[in-house]
Amino acid sequence: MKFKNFLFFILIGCSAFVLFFFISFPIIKILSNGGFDFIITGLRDKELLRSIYLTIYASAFATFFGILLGIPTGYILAKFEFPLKSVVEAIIDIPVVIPHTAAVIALLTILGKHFFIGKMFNMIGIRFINESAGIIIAMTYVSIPFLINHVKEGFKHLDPELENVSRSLGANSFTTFVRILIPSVKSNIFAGSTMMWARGISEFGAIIIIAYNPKIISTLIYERFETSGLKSSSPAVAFLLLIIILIFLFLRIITNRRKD
Amino acid sequence: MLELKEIEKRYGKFYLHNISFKISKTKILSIIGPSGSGKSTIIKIIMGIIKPDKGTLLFDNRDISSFPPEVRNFGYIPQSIGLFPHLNVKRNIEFPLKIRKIKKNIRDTAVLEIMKDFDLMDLSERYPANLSGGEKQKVALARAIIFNPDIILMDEPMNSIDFQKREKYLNFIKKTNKKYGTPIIYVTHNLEEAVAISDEMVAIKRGEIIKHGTLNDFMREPDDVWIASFFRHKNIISGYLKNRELKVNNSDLIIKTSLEGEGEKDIMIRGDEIIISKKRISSSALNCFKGRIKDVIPNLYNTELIIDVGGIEFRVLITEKSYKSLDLSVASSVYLSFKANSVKNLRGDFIQ
Repeated sequence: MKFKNFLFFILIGCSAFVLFFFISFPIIKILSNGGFDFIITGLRDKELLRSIYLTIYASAFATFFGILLGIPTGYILAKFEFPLKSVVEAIIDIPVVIPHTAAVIALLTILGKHFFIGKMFNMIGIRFINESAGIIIAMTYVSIPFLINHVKEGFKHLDPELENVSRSLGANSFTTFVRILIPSVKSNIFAGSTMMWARGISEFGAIIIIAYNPKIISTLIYERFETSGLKSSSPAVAFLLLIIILIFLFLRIITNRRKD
Repeated sequence: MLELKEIEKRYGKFYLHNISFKISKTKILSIIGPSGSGKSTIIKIIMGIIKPDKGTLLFDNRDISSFPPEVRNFGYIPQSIGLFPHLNVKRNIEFPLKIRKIKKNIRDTAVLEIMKDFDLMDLSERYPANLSGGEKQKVALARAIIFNPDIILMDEPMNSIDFQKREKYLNFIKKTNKKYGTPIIYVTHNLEEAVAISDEMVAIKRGEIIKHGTLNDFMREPDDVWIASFFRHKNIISGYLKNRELKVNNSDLIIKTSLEGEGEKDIMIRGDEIIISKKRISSSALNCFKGRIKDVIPNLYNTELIIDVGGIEFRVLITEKSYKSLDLSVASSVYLSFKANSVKNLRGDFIQ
């Protein structure tokens, strides 16, 4: 019996180790290639810095829109039953399950200058092709399901009586939503936003269709890899990885602190 | 003050109907009934979360049926207690005052006062996740009372509290009701809780009120098998009623009653309304049966005799003094006498 238990722990330990090695080794390898010169190179590379900045802020904007639209949507999906609800849920998940290039081409059909929505935006000076606005909207489109699903799960598991209690204490529906329900699912909102933001940063397929320029980081790395090969693109990748790791370490520390 | 008039609500096969009762100022009224009987629906209708299909809800003779919950001024404590998880004890209690835009200094004084009163000062900075069931209960009650509500509605709030500690918190609720004078509507499926806390009780079963009265009314005239069995009325007998006589099922026994109608019936005879004698006595009691004592159970204040009458078991309560003076013992033959109007009609069944 003892031997079987021992064997079991060895097996699951090995699986976890293989997985960890599989994920971390390429990262460690690219970060350690040629020492830490990539940091100096990265800091001097204006195009790379611009591109990282654009990626981070476009993804942050997308996440901001995601929060604005995703929280009410998640609440509706968690709380209410209505006809064709499962169809609505399936549609919301579509951008995640289809190739992002296809998703964005579909998006372009309504944002292009031949459709009235595209025309309306055009009239107020917002254009999407090869513009930051295009990057933001593509990131929102393909990554918002992550946020909605996290928020929906949060609301689903929330005690439904909180809303009743809050209203009995004098708060109307809006105040209850803003002051009680949203703060009660803040960890889900935080996790969903982080996922959405991260998904936005790593997006490539959707962005390359709608806005090759200005270049976000994945487009820039792709371009460097295509034109100059692995050696030329590696420092940029290493520099990006370092920044992303630092940001996510910071977010994880915040999350753990909130849990405590 | 609060009056429900002919409230009706239908959910598929479930039909809440003819719900009419009043709760007067300062009282505690319990709504009791088995699970799924509709008691929580009544509470939610009073709160304004569920809209009734028919009927009116009057508060101080004003129709409040269409008012949203936030303007009704009723405190509410649900089964889950409903403390806001992201707010500490102090902020939870303060919430209704903040919503009412009460000035900070007045708010702070009120919160401090109630926290002292409820012995919550040490818990002030704690979050609900770090409170025991009883502590949560106290915080919820403090939060429900701080804004001076017209009524507090409690929906099975003891479920999160250990069985042994329930009595303590029931007493606490009772004390709070006496001190603040806020009437409480207390919903429970546990009759013991209801008995411990209530001034009045409304019993509900399958969407219908089966009895409304004081604790004394419930004990003396249970009217329903479920209530009768709770109060340990043992002489519950089934039979066929015709011409005011009940032919007891599986027995030759015929019990004379004052009940009208014909058909299958459950009846009850209180154990202290049966007279025991060693010889047949002449009295106005229409029922007199000979039986044999099967068992004697001494209680604190009386003695319970289990008597077999033609295969039917009667439980009779007599005083210790009578028991001794009649010189009774197991296997003694005795006569049981009781009046026709001691036979009470019971509705319903034993469903829990």
